[in-house]
Formats: sequence, structure tokens, C-alpha cells
Amino acid sequence: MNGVEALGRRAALLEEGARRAQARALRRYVLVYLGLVPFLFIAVFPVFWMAITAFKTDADLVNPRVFPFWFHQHPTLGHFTYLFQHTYYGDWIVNTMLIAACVSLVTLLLGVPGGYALARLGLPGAENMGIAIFLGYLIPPILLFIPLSRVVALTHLIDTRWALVLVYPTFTVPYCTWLLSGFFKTVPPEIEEAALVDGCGRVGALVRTVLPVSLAGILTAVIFAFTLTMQDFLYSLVYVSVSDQKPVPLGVATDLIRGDVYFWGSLMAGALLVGVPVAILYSFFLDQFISGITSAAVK
Amino acid sequence: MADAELAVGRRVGVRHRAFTRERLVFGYSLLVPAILYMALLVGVPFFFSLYLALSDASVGNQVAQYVGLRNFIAIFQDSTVRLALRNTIVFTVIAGIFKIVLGTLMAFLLVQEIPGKKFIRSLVVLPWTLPVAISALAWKWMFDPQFSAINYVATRLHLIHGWPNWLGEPGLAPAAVIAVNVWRGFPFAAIVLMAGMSAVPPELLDAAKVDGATFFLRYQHIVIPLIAPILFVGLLFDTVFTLSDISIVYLLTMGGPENFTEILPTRAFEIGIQAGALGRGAAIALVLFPILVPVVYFLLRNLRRREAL
Amino acid sequence: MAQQAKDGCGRRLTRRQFLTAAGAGAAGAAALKLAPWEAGAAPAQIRGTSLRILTWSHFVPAYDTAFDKYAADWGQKNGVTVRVDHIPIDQLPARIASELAAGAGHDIFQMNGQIQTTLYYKNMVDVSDICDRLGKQGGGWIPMAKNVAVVGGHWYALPEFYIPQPVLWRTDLFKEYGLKVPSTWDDLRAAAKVGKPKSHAAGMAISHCNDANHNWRAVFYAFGVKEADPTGKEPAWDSKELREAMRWSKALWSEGMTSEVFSWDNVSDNRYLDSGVAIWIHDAISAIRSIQDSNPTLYNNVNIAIDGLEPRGPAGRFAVVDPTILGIWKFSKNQAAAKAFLEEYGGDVKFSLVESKGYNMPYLKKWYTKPMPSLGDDPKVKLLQDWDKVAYVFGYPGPATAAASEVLSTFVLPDMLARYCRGEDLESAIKWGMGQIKSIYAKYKS
Repeated sequence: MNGVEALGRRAALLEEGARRAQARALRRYVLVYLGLVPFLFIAVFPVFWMAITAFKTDADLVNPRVFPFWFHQHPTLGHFTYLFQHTYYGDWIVNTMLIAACVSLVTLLLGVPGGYALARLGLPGAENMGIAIFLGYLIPPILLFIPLSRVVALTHLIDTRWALVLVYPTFTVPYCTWLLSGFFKTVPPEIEEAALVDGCGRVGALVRTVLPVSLAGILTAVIFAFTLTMQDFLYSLVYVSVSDQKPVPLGVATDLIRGDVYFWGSLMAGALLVGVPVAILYSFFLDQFISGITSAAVK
Repeated sequence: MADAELAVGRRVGVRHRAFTRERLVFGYSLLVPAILYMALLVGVPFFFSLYLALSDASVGNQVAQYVGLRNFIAIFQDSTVRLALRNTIVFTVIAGIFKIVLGTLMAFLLVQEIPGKKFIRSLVVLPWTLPVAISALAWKWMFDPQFSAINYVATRLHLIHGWPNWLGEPGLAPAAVIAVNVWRGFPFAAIVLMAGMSAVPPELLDAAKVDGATFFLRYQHIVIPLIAPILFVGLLFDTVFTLSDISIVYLLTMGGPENFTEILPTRAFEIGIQAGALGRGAAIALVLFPILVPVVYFLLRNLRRREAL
Repeated sequence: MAQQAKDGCGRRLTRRQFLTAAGAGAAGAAALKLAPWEAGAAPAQIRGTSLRILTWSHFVPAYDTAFDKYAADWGQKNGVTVRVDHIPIDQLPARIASELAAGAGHDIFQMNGQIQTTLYYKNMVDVSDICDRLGKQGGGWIPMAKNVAVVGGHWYALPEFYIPQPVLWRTDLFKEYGLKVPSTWDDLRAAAKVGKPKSHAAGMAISHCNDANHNWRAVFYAFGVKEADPTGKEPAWDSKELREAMRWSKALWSEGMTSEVFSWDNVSDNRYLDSGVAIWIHDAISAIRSIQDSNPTLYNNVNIAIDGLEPRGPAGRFAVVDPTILGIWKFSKNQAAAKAFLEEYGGDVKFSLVESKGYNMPYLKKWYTKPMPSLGDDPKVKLLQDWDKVAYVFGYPGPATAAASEVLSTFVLPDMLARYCRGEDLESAIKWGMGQIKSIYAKYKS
């Protein structure tokens, strides 16, 4: 075999290998997609229904004889315009985002140091303190809201959105502290010690070494805090009765349901306008921490 | 010679103690904000709630007289509370199993590198991100006895016969409630798992792959043990949250039909707030507390012990 | 809703803008001559203060708009900054409980359907003086008014209005089936029996909802069932009449209704009627007001109330209504303004009738002289003008006590009936229901 033939042979083999690898990858993709179909279906069909409803005319919705998952009459943007023209929806979105952002911030301010202390510093009694923080969850909000009312009243924040910024961390802090402590634990102590040796001081070591590497955990904590904030209904109900201070879930449920009359189209429109962007945000952040952020940890 | 050693030893000893004390001060001061916040906003109200459960308080008379365990005795004699207790536990367990299984399966699928990953992830996360107040209402409409979209489709696909009244049959309503809970919650389980998986150093997995470990072995021996703490806390959180959540049942069935979907939170709300018997309502809300506290405590302690190894 | 606060250009006002405008108005009004206030002298010391009112989201949205304007106008006239907040009816109890716990919130609050005067009265301002005056002016209160607002001989709230729940029936279907104009429950049962096989069943919820509580009480009272003794202390359900009522109700359900009703909420019967299916339902008139414009054919074929107002049963005609009352918190820092507002609003029944399009029914006898505002001109609702003759509240014949309220809010009656309808033995279902009721009443004895 001469040199040219050998090269040609090798090229062919490489090509063959590449094709096989491609076929394998394709097979894997297909399998994964197939696997995902049922999940997508389960997760998405109610949302799909909600989306269709947001664009359906009311008459179309209460017609029991037609296929509910598509339009019988022309779709309409009326429900969306109703939201913005006849309710305080604009205010509600601002409130929701503002509250969620502030609550996430507060959660981080309390949870990052707390989680770190629990994870790293081997403090006596810290274990019990950490557990005590978590036990806060076992008290149902339907009970807690009454005595909590007095606390909130003392701050004079009742009927403002800040009342919610005050109370929502009661359910974001416990979980996020534990979550963060779990993430902090996975950070190798060596990098911290290296920073300490370099003369960083404890806070500096924390900020410079542990935090960047735990970005995944911090982002998770932020997203959870965000979502939990948007889920609450009871606290917002009892602490905020003023229309333009309400967050979206409360505003939509109180102003778009008048006893007998459910403004279904606007209800769904209202939910989607808020839920979909957050879902998109989620997908971006999930990607962030899964695509090898931890590679930065090992220098 | 000995003097010098002693001197050095003592100086090291002093520095070590100072180091420890400094570490302790630093540590506690980091922990204090969180503890203080929880103590004021959860701890204090909690102790007041405990007092409520032990008093004959009503909504109009919130600081009433201590009556000991009378409320607890009364509520256990209430057959509806016993039913609510049973429902609460059953729903939570069944929903939890479904959520773990579905969440795990989906997490494995979603960490794969496939085209359109971002888009798919944002879709499957929607049940979790949509406000529960509204998605529960959407489900309520989909279960509606007259207009049910689910029935419409399922009968035409010959999946079901007749036109079941999901929220009105004692056998079906619990399933409906559990279904909505699972629907909302399994993306959360998947997210927790995915985030946990991200904490696994890829080098470990690569090393194992090189060593010839199969996919399942890798996951069994490397990934699971590493993500166990995060997974575990996530599970605990979700369970506790489900146990105390009122929204889905409140919006779908209000505890009906005939109390078959009545759970402790809804019963506590009915008695404590709507009927105004705050003391008894508090007792109902706290029924699981004496069991949950030691259980959660010991579980979390064990978790810590295992991590320390 | 947004329409409640608009500036001169019709733009929505934010709360801050609204308050500023109202404040400017007060100052401006003070500079000019104030319009005279007919119902009495506004105490000068309320000028410059603020008043907060909590009320429900009215089923007639236009009423909320009108009420907010009414309150704002009153505020302007009297130099008081008024703000009204609306929340859904189901959520009032929770909000009220938390306001008391907080010792802060609103000055005036509404109780609607879930009347809890006996629970809260110690924290509510005694308004006997206002109610006595209004009663004199208004020709006296109807008997039901005392049931919901009086404790120990004192008025602790102003009865605002009540909501009737008449029979809403399809005149075209009755005609088609050759049925006469109904007057008794038996007539309705016969109609349902005819309609059901033709896909036009009747519907009354037998589930955990407010409608179920009220509808079946109307039936049961008509059979002579009494909830308690006249003092309200002892439960009196257990009787021969209860068994008759249960038997009859189950027959009505099996002959003329479907199993859907076991999962109905307060809206389901509206939909049942609006979709053209129901031959009759028993519900507030909002059920057809909502289709007045969108489906005029159907609207024209539905009549409100029947011959004799409420169907007759062996013991008579009993319409169980949803009452609303307005109370003032003792912790309110502006009781004077609150009382002044309540007195003026309480006397302004015409406003209430007109703006609610006949939905709000008054408690003062003089207003039942025909023709009533709004109700008198509309032939559809003219029968409601005599509703005071048949209006009762839960707890009958006793007052709306805490015990009766708990029986209401734990849905004992619908559950008891549902069990029986589903096949449980009559005595067993009753035994269960009585067990629940007795233990509830027992708790309130001490």
C-alpha cells in the first residue's frame, strides 16, 4: 500500500467513524425526544388550553358542542386589551416583578450568609439552628397569617406591596438557605483556604472564591424565590386590599371574578402574560448552571 | 531548647484559639440575620398560634382563655377532621411518588444535549411558573361537568366511557386534586434534580466512563449520592409544602364532594376563619405538627451526619 | 376595578393621584360654600380626616363603580378622604379576621353571606342610634334585619341590603311542555321531571358552595324544618319534617336533576341556565343579567320568581336570602366619619336599588311601596317588590348565630343531602348530619 492509498484509507475510516457517531447521536436525540413527548403533553396541554381561551370569544368558550382546543369563532385580542384598559393589570405586573425582585434580594441577603455559615463554619448548635429555620415551614400559612397580621400592622405596611416583601421571605428563606448550604458544601474547601492564605480575609474569601463557583446555586435560589413569590395567594389576600398594590395572582382572581361571572379570557391572558416570561427566564438560567459552570471551580 | 518549643507551642495555641473564636464570631454573625428574621416573623407568630390552639379563641376574641388540650380532643372527635387527616396524608404520599418518578425521568431527559433544549425546558416548566390561583381555575374549567375539555377529547379518543364528573364523584375528585398537584409539582422536582446534577463534577463522570462504568452504574454510584442531599431537601420541602397548601383543593372542590377531598388546611380554614372558631382551627392546622417536627428534625440531622462523613 | 377612580379626562388614577385630588377637592370645597347636607349635620371634626371602606366585589360591576363614586362624592362634600377597596365575597372572612388581629385596616367593613356579628360584636361600634333613626325614617326594619345585626338588644352593624335568590324558569319550555305557571315546590319538581329526559333538567347545587346552602334551606324551611329554637341556642333540625324534606329533595334530584350538581360551585347553575339547558334554577338574578345583552332571546324566555314569589311547601313560602351588613371597627380612628357615612348611605336606599338594577333589596319597610325604584319599571323583576314578605336568613327561626354560621360554613346540609342522594340510608345520613350539628352547637354553649 503506498502513502496516498494509506491516507485515503484513513480518511475513509474517519469519515465512517464520524457518520457512525452522527447516527448514534441522532438515535439518542430521537430517543430523548420520544421520551419527552409524554411529559411535554402533560405539562403543556392545559397551558395550551389556557392560551386558546385567552384568545377565544366568550360565546365560543361556553359552547359545549365544539372542540374546546381550537377556535370556532374568530380569535380576539379583546381579553388582553380588557386587561390593560379596564383593570389595574399594568400595576399588578409592576408590583409582582418588584416584589419578586426584592424578595429574591432579601432571600439572598439572608440565605447566602446563613447557608454558608451552616455549610462551612462548623458552628456548634448551627445544625439545630439550621433545622429550626426549616421548621418554619411546618406551620401552615392559613394559621400563621393571623398572628403575622399584627407584626405586619406594626410596620404600617398593610395594604401596600411592601407588606408582601416583608412576609414572603418567610417561605423563601428556609428552603433557599438549605439549598445554598447544599451548594456551598460541594465547593472544595481548598480554593477557599488558598484565598485565605493569600491574605483575603474571611469575607473576601467568601466573595471571591465561593460565590462565583456557587452561581448555579444562587441562581437556583433566586428562581425559586421568584416562583414562590408568584404562587402566593393567601398572604396577598389578607395584607393587600388596595387594587393598585396587588400582585398579579391576587389582582386577577379578585377583579376578574365577580362571584358568578368569571372573565375566563382575561384570566387566562393575565396568567400567561406573567407565567410565560418567567418560564422563558427559567430555561435560560437552567442552561447557565448546567453547561459547565463548575468547570470554573477547578483551576 | 525546651523553652523555645514551649514558647512556640503556646503562641500557636493562642493563635489557634483566636482563629477559632474569630471563626465563630464570623459564623454566627452570618447566621444571625436569617435567624432573627425567622424568629420575628415565624417564631413569634408560631408561638402565638400554639397558644391559639390551646385556647378558646375566636376571630372576634383572639386572646381568650387557656383551655389546655380541649380543642385537640374536640377535633379528633370530629369525623370530618379524621377524614381530612387521612386525605392529607394519602394525597401527599401519592402525589409525592408521582412527582419524584416523573421529575426524575424528566430531569434525565432534560440534561441531555439536544437541539431545542432551551425551548423544551421553558415549555415543561410552565406548570410550575404559572400562578397556582389561575392554573387551578383553568383545571376546574377543564373538569367542569358540562364543558370539560378533558372529557370531550377523551370520549372521542375512546379513552373513557360516559362523561365522568371529575370533581363531583367521591372516587374521582381525589384523583383530580392529586393530578393537579402532580402537574404543578413535577417540573419543580425536575429542576431540583437538574440543578443538583450540575453540581456533579464532570471529571468524576468522565473518569468513571473511562473506567468502563455504564450509564446506570455511573448514575447510581456517583450522581445519586452526590445529589442526594439536594434532592432530599427538595423532596422534604415539597412534601411539607403540599401538606400545608390550601389553594388547589380550595379552588377545585372546596373540600367536596361530601368531604372526600377535605384536607387539614381546608378544614382548618373552614372552622378557624369562616366559622370563626380560631382555637379549634389552629388545633386542626397543627395536628400534624407533633409528628412532623421530630421527623423533620431527625431526618435533617441524619442528613448532616451523613454529609459530615 | 379601574373605573372606580378616574380623573376628569377619564384616565385611571393611581391611588396617590386619587388621594391628592380628593384632598384638593376638600380644601377647595372648604373655600367655597359647601352644599347643604340633608340627612343631618356632619360633625365638623371629621373634616380633613380619611375613611377606608372594605366591601365585596359586587356581582353587578356597575354598582361598585357607582358606590365608589358615591363614597367619593360624600367625602368631598364633608372634607373626608374616602377610599373603597373591593375583594371577592368568599375572602371577606379571612380579611376581616386578619384586620382584627392586626388592629388595623379599614374603618367600615362589610359582612356578606357569612354573617359573623355574634363573633365580632365586641369589637364593633354600637350603632343603635343610627339604626333607630333610620328605622323610624324608613317605616321600620323588616324582622330579618335584627337577626343579622342585633346582639343583646344593640345594633352592631347597619344592614345594607340582601340578595334574593328566586326561581329562574324558562317560560318557553314550560309552555312547550304544557306546564302551568309554577307556584309550589311540587310544581317545580314536576317540571324538572318532564324536562330531564328532554335534556332540560333543573339544577340546584348539592355541594360545598354557598348556593347549595341557601337553595336547600329554602326547600327545607318550606317543609317546616327549623334550624334552631328562636333564641338560637338549641339545634332543632331533627324532626319529622326533616325526614319529609330529605325524602322529597332526593326525589327531586333523582327525577329532575343530574349528578353534575354534586360538583357545582356558585357559578355552575348560572352556566347551566345561560347555556340553554336548565328548565329552572334557583339563584340570584345575576344569572340572567349577564345574558341580558349577549343572548336576548334566552333572556326573554326566563322569568324571575313565580306565582306567589317563592315556591310553597307544606309549611309555607320561605326565601332564604344572602344578607350584607356594614360594621365599624372599634379600633377605627375615625368612628365619627364612619357613622356619618353609614347614616347617609343607609338612608339612601334609592341609590342602592337603582344602581344595582334591582339586585340590592332593602331592609326598610317604607321602600317596599310600589312602584319601587328600578324594580317597579322592569316587568321582569317586578315580583321582587314583595320579597320582604318571604325573606328569611339562615339560622331560622333563631338569629344568625355563630353556631348556625358554622353549620353553614361547613356545608352540613348539602353533605347530608348528598349522602342520602347517593344511596346512604336516610336515618344514617341524618344521624351523621345531626352529629355534626349537635357537636357544633355544643361547642358554643360554653
